[in-house]
Amino acid sequence: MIAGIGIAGTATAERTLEPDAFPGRWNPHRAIPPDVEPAATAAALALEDAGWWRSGSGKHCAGGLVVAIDGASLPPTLHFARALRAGPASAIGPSSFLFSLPSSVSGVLGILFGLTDYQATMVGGSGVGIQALRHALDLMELGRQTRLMVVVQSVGCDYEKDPELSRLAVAWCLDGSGGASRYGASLQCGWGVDAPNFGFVAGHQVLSPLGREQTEAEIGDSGLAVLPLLRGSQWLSRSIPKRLQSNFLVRQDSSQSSTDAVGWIYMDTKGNSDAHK
Amino acid sequence: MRSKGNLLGGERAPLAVTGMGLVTAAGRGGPALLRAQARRESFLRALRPCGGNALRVPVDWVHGKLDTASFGAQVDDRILLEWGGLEHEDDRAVPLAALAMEDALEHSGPVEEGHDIGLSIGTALGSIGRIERSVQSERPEQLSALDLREDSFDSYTNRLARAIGAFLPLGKPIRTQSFSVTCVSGLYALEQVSADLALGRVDRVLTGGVDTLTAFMHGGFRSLGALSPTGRLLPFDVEHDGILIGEAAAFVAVEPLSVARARSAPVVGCVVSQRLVSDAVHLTSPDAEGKGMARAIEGALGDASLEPEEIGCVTVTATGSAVYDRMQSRALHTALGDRAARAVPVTTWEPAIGHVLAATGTLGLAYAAMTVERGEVLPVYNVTGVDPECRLRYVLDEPLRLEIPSLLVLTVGFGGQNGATVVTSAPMAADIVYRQGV
Repeated sequence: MIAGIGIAGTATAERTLEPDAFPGRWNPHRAIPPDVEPAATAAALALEDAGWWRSGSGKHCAGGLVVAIDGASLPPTLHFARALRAGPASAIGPSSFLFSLPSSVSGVLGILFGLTDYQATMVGGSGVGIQALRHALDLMELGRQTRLMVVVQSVGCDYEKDPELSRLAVAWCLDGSGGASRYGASLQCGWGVDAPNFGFVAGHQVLSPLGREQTEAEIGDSGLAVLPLLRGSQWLSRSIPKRLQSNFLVRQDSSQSSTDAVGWIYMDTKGNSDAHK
Repeated sequence: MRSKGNLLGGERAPLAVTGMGLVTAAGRGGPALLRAQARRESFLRALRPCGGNALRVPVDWVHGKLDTASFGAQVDDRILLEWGGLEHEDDRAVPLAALAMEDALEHSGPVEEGHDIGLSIGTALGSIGRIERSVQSERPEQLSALDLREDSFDSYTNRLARAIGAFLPLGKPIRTQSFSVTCVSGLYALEQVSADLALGRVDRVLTGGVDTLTAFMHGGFRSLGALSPTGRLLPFDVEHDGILIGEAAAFVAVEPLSVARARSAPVVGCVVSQRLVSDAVHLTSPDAEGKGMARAIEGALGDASLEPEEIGCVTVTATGSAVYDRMQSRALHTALGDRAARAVPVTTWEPAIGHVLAATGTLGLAYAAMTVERGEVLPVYNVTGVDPECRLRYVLDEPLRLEIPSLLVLTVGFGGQNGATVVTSAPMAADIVYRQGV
């Protein structure tokens, strides 16, 4: 199911994304927009991890895209609103308006990687990452999509002071074709109902609720939508290469009060311990 | 033979539209829009400064920066004042959506005890008016982007969930989710709720799109140089000179046709199939040849097992942009073939109320369902002469009888987003399922 994972943000940067990674798809003289760069880098890492894309190939990448954005569109929104207050719209460049639209992130990812199919963008609070994962899994379960990449991008609390440190993105490539995948863990996810009792066995790790975990302090905001997938990625990276038989549950209680807003992701390597090739 | 699983709503397809709520510049309710179109009326007007109205936050209008090119279609404030929750709310985007949601739910009938309702919202900019209000504060330079979280999409979704919660059985939580994919937002919202219905999570859903016409939205399109300077929205026209935007909310109540029939709910029309495809060629422009839209059309017709000749009418997104008008024409020729593309009647409502942003997709579904119910295709107006590159059978003079109760709804969004949705009468939807033999 999970064919590739990628994590990006300045604090965890493994690479810098250059325009020449996308020949024929992106103007080589134009930098990747900073509002999109973490998502684009995480996507590149996940796609390469899955073997779905190769840097510099310029080829179209088959599959759909589901992007989740929490507060990540707020900085350009504020920028454009301030500019509008200061002068007439006809004198303002459109860039910050474009990136105030959350779907511009998926728009850029689509152009960079040639993702010309389904291209959803979900918006919300800390739970929107899990919602996006669930959306993708639903579409695959119903046979409406077979290959999807889920990308979650968050912005942290110190954006104004230090924008480089406070953006973080996670990407997962999901393959619903039924073949062996790079990460052999089974994957389930839910939103809006309490997490089921999975009957945990040795090797489990429970992170609940997220707001009390120390790792959040490093990221800088307990309400980040990337966190559940980030923790899941870390567990996958640790468990799968060692062929550990273990399972993982992350549960997230949203700040929403009027809705039934509990999200969870459950992964299990039982019976799949030899899937990692 | 295609699997019924490909129909929108999977094994519980087709999906019946049992209620709709439209709030547009033409008024509250679908008939107001149809009346405007029948009378060839346009609600696109010069936007005027409106001062301290609590429901409006037009930054540059307040500061007197409105110029001669500021046209659009706004919902009359008196309509928004009909909403009962205004003592708790100063954000125009809430009453706009809440009225449409209430109407859709009311038309679809009471919610039975124990039934679960889902809510899925499509919006490009959500509560942008509240953010504009914050930036108008005395020291906006001290504002941090994260101070705006209270005005974010999450907050907006919650407030809408609370607004509709009063109409649901006491204490019943509502499943909510929000999509933001420019003008096709409402169609992506429909994808998730159709999955929720198919997987048995909910019994009925409210889904739709909403955006307000504030200074931010208007200024954004102005900064792109996309707006018409003349204030006329001229679809498929040799003289088209840019788009004009309007504000609106469009929501539909949807449930499996079998469930709707079992409870004797009124079925306005059925959503049979839908395909959403991205061009991925440019951040603002579509593929000029319409290759993505053609794939969407072929997919939607294929899922419904319909031949091009079995489409009674096509509605297009006619914003006043030559690029998008021509693109949709080319896509229809590619997907349907030249003969069928020239034969099928084509219409649009946009000269009446402008391009209504994230409400466009759902409004298209509602409009198609109303057209199926009335059996009549209303003509397009504001066409001084058809652009020779728009090679379709536009209904321009008199209304046409709808020969086949099926519509293909084309929705285009900023940056090459394409949606093709098939809406039919309930008997035709049932026939499609029968023909597919599942």
